[in-house]
Amino acid sequence: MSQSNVQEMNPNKTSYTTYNTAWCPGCGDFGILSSLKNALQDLQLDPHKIIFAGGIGQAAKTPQYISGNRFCGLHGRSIPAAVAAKIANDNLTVIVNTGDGDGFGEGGNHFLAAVRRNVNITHFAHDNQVYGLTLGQASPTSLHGYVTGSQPYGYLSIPFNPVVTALILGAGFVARGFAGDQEQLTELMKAAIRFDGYALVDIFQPCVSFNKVNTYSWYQERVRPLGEEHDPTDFEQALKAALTFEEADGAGIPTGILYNVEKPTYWEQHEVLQRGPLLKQGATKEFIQEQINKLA
Amino acid sequence: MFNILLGGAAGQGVETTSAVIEKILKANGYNVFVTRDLMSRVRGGHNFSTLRFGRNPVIAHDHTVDGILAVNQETIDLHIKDLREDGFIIADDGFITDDARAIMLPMTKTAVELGNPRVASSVAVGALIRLFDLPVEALREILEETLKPEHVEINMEAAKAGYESVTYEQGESSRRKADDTDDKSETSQENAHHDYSDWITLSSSEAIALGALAAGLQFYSAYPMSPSTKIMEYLAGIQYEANIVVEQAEDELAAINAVVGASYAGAVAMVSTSGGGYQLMVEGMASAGMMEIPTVTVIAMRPGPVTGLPTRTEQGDLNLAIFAGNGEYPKMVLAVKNQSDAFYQTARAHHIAQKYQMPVVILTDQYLSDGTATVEPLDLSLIEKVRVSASDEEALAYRDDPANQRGDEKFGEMKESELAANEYKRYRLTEDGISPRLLPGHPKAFVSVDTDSHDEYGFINEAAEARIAQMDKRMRKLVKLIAEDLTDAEQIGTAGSDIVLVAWGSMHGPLKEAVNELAKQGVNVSALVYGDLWPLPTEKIKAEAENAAHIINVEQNFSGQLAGLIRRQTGIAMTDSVLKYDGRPLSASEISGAVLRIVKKG
Ligand SMILES: Cc1ncc(C[n+]2csc(CCOP(=O)(O)OP(=O)(O)O)c2C)c(N)n1
Ligand code: SF4
Ligand SMILES: [Mg+2]
Repeated sequence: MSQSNVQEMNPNKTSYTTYNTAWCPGCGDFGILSSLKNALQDLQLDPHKIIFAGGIGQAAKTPQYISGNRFCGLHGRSIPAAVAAKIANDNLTVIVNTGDGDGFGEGGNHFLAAVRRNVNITHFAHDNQVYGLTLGQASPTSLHGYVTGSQPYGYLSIPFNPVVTALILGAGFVARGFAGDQEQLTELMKAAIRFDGYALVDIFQPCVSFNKVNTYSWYQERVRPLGEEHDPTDFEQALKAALTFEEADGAGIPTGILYNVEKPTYWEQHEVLQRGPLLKQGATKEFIQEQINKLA
Repeated sequence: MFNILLGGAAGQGVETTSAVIEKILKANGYNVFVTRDLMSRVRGGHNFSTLRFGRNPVIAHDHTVDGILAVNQETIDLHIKDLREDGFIIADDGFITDDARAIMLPMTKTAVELGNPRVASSVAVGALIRLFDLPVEALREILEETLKPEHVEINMEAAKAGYESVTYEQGESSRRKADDTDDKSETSQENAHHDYSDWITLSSSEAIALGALAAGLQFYSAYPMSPSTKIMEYLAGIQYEANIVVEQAEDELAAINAVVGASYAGAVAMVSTSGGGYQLMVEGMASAGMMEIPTVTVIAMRPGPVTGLPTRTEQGDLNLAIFAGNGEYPKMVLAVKNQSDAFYQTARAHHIAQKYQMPVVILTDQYLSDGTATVEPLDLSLIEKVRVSASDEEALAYRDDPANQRGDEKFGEMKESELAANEYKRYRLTEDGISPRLLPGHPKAFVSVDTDSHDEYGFINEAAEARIAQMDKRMRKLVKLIAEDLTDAEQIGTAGSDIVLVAWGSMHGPLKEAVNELAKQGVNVSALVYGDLWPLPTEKIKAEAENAAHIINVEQNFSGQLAGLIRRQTGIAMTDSVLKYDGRPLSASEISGAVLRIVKKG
């Protein structure tokens, strides 16, 4: 048996309240937030049993704007905290919202480890290809040549591809979405939350204030929802779609569930977790006494 | 009391041999104190252990030795200067020395004949068994516990050869010295026991692990770094039976943030590292302070800065532990004084972390982490498991009072909604600063924590009033801590003496012995040894300083970090210092010698 990131359904109709946000009007984050609320409502998850974890950044503020338990930690460090919170109490659903800088720059090593550790958390990356909160510097996913205040002659690095990285590290669930297509995004989020294991949805999120290149229409012209012919259990097809990040007149950028194959989770492999939530466990006095006696 | 030095190259089995000798000495009723001096390499170089043992509790090492077991030539060359006149050397007959104290044995020859040159040190063990009349029958059992089954027989054979190669008579004076109880080790009545075979062998690594388990540890994460790694390895090895999760993190940042996340969700959590790794944890520690999440962080100190001397000892991270972190947040820092103290202090640290919902730092060092002592079996009956959250009634009664609901809040930004009543004041302003804590998953409350300045509900709030109110609330916790839970320094020697020594943590043993040694020479001193360091208890030092002509700090660091702290908190300045920062532990005789020189100078 394995343990999904979905807790028991809430019999009462759940409401995910509206809070005032500090986002710019028109920001792609709104589309992500409302898709998330819709997904959670469709799944009938009880907000009391959800931890929304965030770091620091515009994306990372998402927990502040939704009903549930909220862990707003450090820039780049929400993933290890979220992973451990899930290990501590697997009766809870743990959802992390990171920015592209937060999740793949400052927290890059944690992202790599989270994929490989395969703890059952859901990772929504608000990928606006820029640092929003700090007013517009390049992020790991910024396009080569992208001009900003701190990269005035253009960004010199090769852009980071989160979905390719997740796939080659062995992630079981990898999807790409767009804040401008809420219908698709809601379905992606539902599938990601239901998935057993670490699940990544990389979400294109226009930053209307600082990213004047990757705008709504820039994405709109490129995104190509994957059709029936795509087999999300075929790794090669998944990798091909993940690597496809092209101009509007080419193959565009495929969105949807790129890959969906369950793999042994951390939970399944750790005996102690299968005995029940960790926060109800710990060593018995008798066991500790035995260990002390062994030192004699 | 007797002091043996066992030395050899890395890879020659010195560590294992040291453990075997320690066990057989203890099986004979001796109390043994072991230090391990290692080089940071896996093969070659020179490693040694000192095993000091006697019929009273041995509380510190000594650098002067009574016997040398040389598994390599360097052991003779480097340590012969520390050998007492009436001491002995047991060495391979292929080594070069013209010292009359040497007993040359065909160690390598025997080992090669037996078919494995690596068992040479067991020849020395056999000789030692004869010289000290140790229970030879216990050796097989000890080897079975310590070695792979296929290596037991050959080591027995080697030991037998060593046993035959010396005589009982040759050990006469050594036995007398080892059994002499009228020496400078700890002789207080309560410890007059003389047979320690039923006591336990403990390092601070195991003690910290066991103390945490006793307090209810559930989640442990760390990134390997000497000399802290043994805690992780010990806990990892027993995790399935102990019902805990031990996860090696991808880096120290992940380790501390994982511990913060696990603790937020309600698990009792701990992380350990050395000073170098703690540098990377500083932001995570501050987040635990700001979000008010209980955490226990162990720093097993080694000489810095940065990589420094990876396998040696120092007390150089006191400033780091107390002052690192941006802004200001409440925390507690304590140092363990010896191996068994490490057990009780770790349990206490978990209780304090939970009670005050704040990070607690435990300082130990390589001296105590790699070194072992024979101590009284740890008393589990003295330790209770921690209570993780506040009682539901307390927190919920407050939440349900309409006066406290967020819709009415001055700083609130949330629109009215049916769920407003579930917003609970995680950071409720209370008199003592401690807000009743619920855990995520509660059916009637959303638990929100934030590293941004926040309101009582845990929502981002930049208002000056909220900032001041929350800052004051967090810091009030220290006022309560000082009143209810802080322990002042341990006073040793003669209170009110005009010579006052101050020290902290692992200097406890050497200092205690130094105080006895000085008293025997007619010099009465008063010594204060600090366990709790932040907040710093100040009453005793103020009292002792009043009439003192000499106030001397004794520390294993370059600048005298405790001295600096005392001066900062009390205005009291040291008149002299005894400092050591070569990575080798300060011994009682070095301390007493230095104190005598200072006093003579006037
Ligand atoms: C340790 C640390 N370094 C830097 C910052 C400043 N900082 C805050 S958010 C951010 C980048 C935000 O970019 P991203 O993660 O892409 O989120 P976005 O705002 O674009 O949603 C930075 C550099 C910080 N808060 N903490
Ligand atoms: S700066 Fe960009 S990412 Fe941030 S809220 Fe405004 S539009 Fe959104
Ligand atoms: Mg961004």
